[in-house]
Amino acid sequence: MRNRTGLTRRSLGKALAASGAAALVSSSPFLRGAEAKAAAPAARPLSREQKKDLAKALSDTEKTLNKLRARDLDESVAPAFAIAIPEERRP
Amino acid sequence: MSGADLLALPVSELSPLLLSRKVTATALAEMSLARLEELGPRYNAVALVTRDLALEQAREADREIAAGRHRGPLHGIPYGAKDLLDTKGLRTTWGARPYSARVPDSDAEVIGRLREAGAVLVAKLAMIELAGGLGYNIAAASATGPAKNPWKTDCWTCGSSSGSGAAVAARLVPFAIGSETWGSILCPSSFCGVTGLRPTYDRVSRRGAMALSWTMDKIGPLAKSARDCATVLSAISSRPIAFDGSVDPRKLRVAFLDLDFGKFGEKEVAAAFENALGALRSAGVEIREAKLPDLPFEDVAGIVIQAEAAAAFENLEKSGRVFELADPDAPLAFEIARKIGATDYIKAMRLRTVMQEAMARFFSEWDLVLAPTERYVASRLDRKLDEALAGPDVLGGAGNLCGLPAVSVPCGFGKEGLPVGMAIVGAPWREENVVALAELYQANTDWHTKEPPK
Repeated sequence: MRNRTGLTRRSLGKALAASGAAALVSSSPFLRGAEAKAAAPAARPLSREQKKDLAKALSDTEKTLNKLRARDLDESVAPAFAIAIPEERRP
Repeated sequence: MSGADLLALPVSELSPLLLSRKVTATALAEMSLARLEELGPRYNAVALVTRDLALEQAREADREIAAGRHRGPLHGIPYGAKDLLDTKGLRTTWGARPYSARVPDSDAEVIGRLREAGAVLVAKLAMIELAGGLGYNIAAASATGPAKNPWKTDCWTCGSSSGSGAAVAARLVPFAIGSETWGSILCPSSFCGVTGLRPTYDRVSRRGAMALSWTMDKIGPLAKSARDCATVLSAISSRPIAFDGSVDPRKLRVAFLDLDFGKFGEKEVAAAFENALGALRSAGVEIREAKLPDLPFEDVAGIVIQAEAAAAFENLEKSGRVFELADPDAPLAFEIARKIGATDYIKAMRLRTVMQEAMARFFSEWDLVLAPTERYVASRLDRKLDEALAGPDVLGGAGNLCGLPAVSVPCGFGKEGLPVGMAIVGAPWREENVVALAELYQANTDWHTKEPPK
């Protein structure tokens, strides 16, 4: 990818107040430094800035998911697991 | 002719020199290897120089050509491959420290196809770690350090095919292989002033390539011209493809997107794109404004990539080695992805169906759509990328989510003399349309022949 997807961390700083995000941050396994280090030698606790980043990213993701959840789709629409338009259907 | 001069030639001019034996594949490989070894570190463009393999392949090419067994236009041409394509017995690190000792026991399909075409692998090229699969916000998110733009070494190449863009621009190799999940071929092509081709999803086999997003990864070439990209794509495509000149680009229905540069973007980029439209119109192409379907392409693409990447790299999280990545925020990607439920992912994929159908309708009215590849020229190495590349990328989201082929061609210069690219996007499986317009543009302009300072 050319950089982080638009969902994550468009800006920093305002985030901890966002809905539900603070609770998620405080329960993140990455925040329990000692346990994380025991599981992974290179693990390190999140910095204050990273916590803010994470909270913002979680909040952004939640908002995006809510937008997608709110979209109505006809029952006939199947997932695009076959991906791109098959060659036999090329326009 | 010096090595730099010779390596500045496109494949279409090098190939006749090799066939007529005015230049040998061995000499060409030696020139490329020398430049990779000398200049590769200047740009942080190289993960591994494959000297022994290259000379072996080049000597074999010379023997075959001398014996009259010419394999085609890539025979004896040196190239570099993004370091996410497996190479038998040669380190393939995915640009990431946790995989620094990874040595595959077979070649990726693309590497095999290029070997069959007689191309000479001279280097594995640097990349953003894991092709940016866990997200990244710094140019230095790579085991080889920040890739430096040959046009201005304190600026970035873009990613994730960073080394591929830099190596072609700096005349280290005549062409390179990159990959794109969202922007990773087109953006480095734009920032480095080279031509890049993103094929239709599934056009090129992903066997032996690192998976970031199984449903969005594509592999394609970066080179000096659209003609060269077409030549390489013909060699690596899993399905037959013919660029036989039968498409008249003047008869194609061409649209452009009038992007709003008021809030995001640089006016010099907008001006270069305007000039490019003017050049195409002067060449006889009718171009009219169009709008993409009003659908949340970027949101859905983001959800799909985040969910698939977190699954693809779950072993990194389990082992804790994710903390060895250069971007300190990489571990956060798993936390974020856990918010995406199974029904959310399925919903995104159902919306993807709607979007693919909407784009199919769009392409029943148009053959091609044009826009600036990026709103900006290359950013400084130390800038945060979410600021440097701020703004919507609707055509990128739609193109990658719907598996659409695209070419980025150099179309001028912006701030500080840095290259600007124009994206030409087509309907699925219609690479010949995309290439035909790109070739017409390059026949009428010379931006693709400009070279960075020596």
